[in-house]
Amino acid sequence: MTQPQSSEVPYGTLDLMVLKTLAVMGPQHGYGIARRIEQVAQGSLALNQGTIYPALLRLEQKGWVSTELGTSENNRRARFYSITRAGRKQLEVEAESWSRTVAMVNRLLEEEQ
Amino acid sequence: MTTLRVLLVRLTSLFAGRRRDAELNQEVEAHLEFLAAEYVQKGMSPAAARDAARRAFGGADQMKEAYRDQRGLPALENLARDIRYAVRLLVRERSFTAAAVLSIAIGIGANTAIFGVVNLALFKEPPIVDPDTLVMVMGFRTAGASDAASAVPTDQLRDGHQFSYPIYRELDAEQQVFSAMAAAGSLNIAQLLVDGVLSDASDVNAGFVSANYFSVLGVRAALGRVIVAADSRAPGEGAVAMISHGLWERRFARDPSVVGRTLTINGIPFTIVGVAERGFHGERIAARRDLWIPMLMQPVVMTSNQLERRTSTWFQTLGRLRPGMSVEQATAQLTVLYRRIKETEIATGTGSLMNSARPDQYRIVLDAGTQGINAVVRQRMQKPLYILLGVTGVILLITCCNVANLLIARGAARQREMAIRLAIGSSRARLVRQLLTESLLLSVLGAALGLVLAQWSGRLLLRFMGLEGRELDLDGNVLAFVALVTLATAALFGVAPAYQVTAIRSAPATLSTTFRETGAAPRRRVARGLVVVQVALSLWLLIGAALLVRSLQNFSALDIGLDRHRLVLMTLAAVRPIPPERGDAIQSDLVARLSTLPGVDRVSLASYGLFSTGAQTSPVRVPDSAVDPERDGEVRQNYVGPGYFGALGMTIIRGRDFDERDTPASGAVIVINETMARHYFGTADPLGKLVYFPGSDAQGRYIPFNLGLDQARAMEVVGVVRDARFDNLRDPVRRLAYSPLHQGRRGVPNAVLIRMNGEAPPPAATLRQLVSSIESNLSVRSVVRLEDQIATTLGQERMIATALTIFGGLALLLACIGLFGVMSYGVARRAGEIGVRIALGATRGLVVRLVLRETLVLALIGVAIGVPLALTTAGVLKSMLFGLAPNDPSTIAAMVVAILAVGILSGVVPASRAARIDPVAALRCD
Repeated sequence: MTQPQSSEVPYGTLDLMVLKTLAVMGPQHGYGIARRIEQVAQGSLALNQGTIYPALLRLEQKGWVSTELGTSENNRRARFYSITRAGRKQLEVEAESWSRTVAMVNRLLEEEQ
Repeated sequence: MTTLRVLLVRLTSLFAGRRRDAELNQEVEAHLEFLAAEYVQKGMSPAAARDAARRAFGGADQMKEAYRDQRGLPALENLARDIRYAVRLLVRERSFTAAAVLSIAIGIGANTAIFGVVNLALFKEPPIVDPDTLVMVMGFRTAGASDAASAVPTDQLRDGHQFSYPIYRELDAEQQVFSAMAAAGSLNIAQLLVDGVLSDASDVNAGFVSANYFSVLGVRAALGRVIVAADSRAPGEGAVAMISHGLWERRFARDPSVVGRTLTINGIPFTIVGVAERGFHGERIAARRDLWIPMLMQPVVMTSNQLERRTSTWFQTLGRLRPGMSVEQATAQLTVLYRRIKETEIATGTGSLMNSARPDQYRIVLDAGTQGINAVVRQRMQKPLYILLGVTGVILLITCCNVANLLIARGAARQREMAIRLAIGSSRARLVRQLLTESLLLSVLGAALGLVLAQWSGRLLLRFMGLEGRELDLDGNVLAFVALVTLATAALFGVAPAYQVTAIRSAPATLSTTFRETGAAPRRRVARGLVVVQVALSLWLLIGAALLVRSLQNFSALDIGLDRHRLVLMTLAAVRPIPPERGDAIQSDLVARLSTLPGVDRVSLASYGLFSTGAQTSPVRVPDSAVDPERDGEVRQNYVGPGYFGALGMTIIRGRDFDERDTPASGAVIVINETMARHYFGTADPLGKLVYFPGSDAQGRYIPFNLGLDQARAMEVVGVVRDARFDNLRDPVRRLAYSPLHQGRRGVPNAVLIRMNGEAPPPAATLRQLVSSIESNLSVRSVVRLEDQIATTLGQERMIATALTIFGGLALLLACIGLFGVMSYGVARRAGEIGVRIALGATRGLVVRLVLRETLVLALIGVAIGVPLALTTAGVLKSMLFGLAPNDPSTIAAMVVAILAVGILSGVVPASRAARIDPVAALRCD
């Protein structure tokens, strides 16, 4: 059994993954989001968990994610992130665009073989 | 939309930085704990779990940096950080900051002041509506006849003249080129009362204006209303006054109730009807007006009626061109009209003395627009102002050199800091940006202080330029100039040092050696180059200053034909008409009473003072002279009291002074000056020759000569007096004839000349009291020492000489500091080498010579650049120099010697410091 090769996070997809996670799981703190992405990736993604924070800030600034301060399970003050209505719309747009890109790349790869 | 939102969020987050940093830290801590707990659950030891958590999280610090960059606007935050850092640094290095800021302030301040004056004098227009269609109307004469319809080159125009009031009225009535004409003239206030209280009139410049003046110019009232045609329809009607915004501020503290108050001018009450809009000081920039009254009030407020005299030509005449009327058309039509008026004047023997010409020699010239009205004045002021602007530009350059040198020297001490910052990952661009931020901050601080200096020195400058009472206006032009100069200054002095200081070959090398060695050679090269430039530029300024100062010395050593020391001029003015028969009594009382004042040696009287007012110019006929009187027959006339020549220290070289033989009843006599004697009689004896001046009729009109010479008007030349300067020191002496007051002019003389025993003039209050006790309607207009009066005629020369001397001295000081700094730094850097030399047996004298020689070489290179620079540019000073050429070798040599001497002097301290170097200590140090 070969260990699946873990790859870098493709550029621009982290935002999409974070939005999707929030859409599926509801409000989460940073750790929750990172953990969920890793679980789904099943070890096929080398995610520096820290990098999701700048991504979350970027999404917040764009108005796709909202935050509120709360207390986490381990009694730490933590920031909880949830997806906004605009964020859901954006998720649709990006998911759509992602599928198109993947489909396009797939077609291209199939042609070559 | 989203982009804008992001920008806004990032901008606002600039102010919440610290709080967000703390929150992020908590968030990261929480995250790490969750991870660690997860690993512990998987069976790791707590310590191993924490390590694993950190690995999984990735580089926390990089993440935080990325987070911060994402959160705010990094460029802006870096700038803010650079500024904060620069401020801390500048506060810490107070003496460096003070030296740099002060230098920059002087440089920028001087430039701002001069530019402010340039802006005011050359660029700013009075608030006149549609200035392009407003023209000034003037009369000129040509040597021969000229065609009215075609233009004449300006160099063929002569005797430019204003018009008499009758001519103005006739032009106005018949012309068809203007939609309206207006006129303005000046009014001397002998006495001013505000609401019945006596008030100082010395700084109030008043003028007469035609009642339509303000509406023709389109000038509005800031308060109240302007003078309108309905105010003044007939001579003596219209006791209303308009004041300038400046006077309203100065005298009335912007009191809104000023309208309706009473100004009593020369005894006649006027009601203030309005305040003119801000920035309006009359139609000409050089002649500031603060107060205007209707022209038709002239006969009431002055002792003579000038409205009817065709011989009084003292009005500025303005016209508003009709739409579609070109200046050329208007000129041709007005010239035809003017020639018709002149023809009548010549035929009837009325009008001005210029009437010896033929009508077709007269022309009208229109100066287009306010540009034209002010063009003559501007031309006169342009050159000195541009010279000063150039000089202050040079000062700024020198200042920049100086600050750059300071920065380089300071940079040496910061080389380690730079090396460390480069080593820990700062980019060179980032360091340069930091250094430039410091430079800009210095420049901005300097500019702020410079603005204060400019406000203060600008006032002084304006006074020199004859624009007294005007304030420097910090308008858009000036502020833009300051901003530009500030940036340019920062760039000039900051860029080279910034690159120099950050030019570090390798950090370890820099850190391991002492600062003396790294990058020192190129740095010294730049520093020496800067010092050479400073020496050259300051020598340049010094030569200019020395030339002008020498020229002023020539002026004060000039033999002006009279004794200019200890002489006081007092000018009198009649508040109300004084009966002419009182004149004799007033004259003798004045002389008698003034002579008894302490310190007074002699007193005499004259119709005209010296170096101030003009004198009457009349045509003459000299039957015994070979000179063609039609062509060249005008002389000046002055009427003088007994003892005039003696009191002024003038020498009678032939014949006699006036004496008791000359009475009102005896034959008329004159004393003429050398120039006049030479002009009319050559080497022949002028004594006993007869000279004829024209008579005048009851209305003050001249009776022209072409009706025959009146034997009863013959004047006999009884003496010749040495030539004396009358108007200014520069112009050649003009022909002048003196008559005794009691034979020519009855009434009160204008000028009183008081010869003192000592320097100090009698107190003005004493003089005022004495004069008014002799005649209550007589007032003292001014009291001035002749030497001060002469100095005012040299205003431009003195201004530039003063400015150049101050700036030259300043430049020299800066150059010395530069030399001193470079040499001191050089000695410190070469301490080791010098130590070796001393150890090997070099004498202290040799070491001193070594350092001094280097200083001298730098100064000499500066001289080698500065002298040719001065030689090629001194030509611009030519018209201002008197009695020496712009390349005067002795002046240039003296300045070269001076700068070399001062240069060597600034090397003395570093040299003696070098000689005191202890070889053992110096060698151990490295």
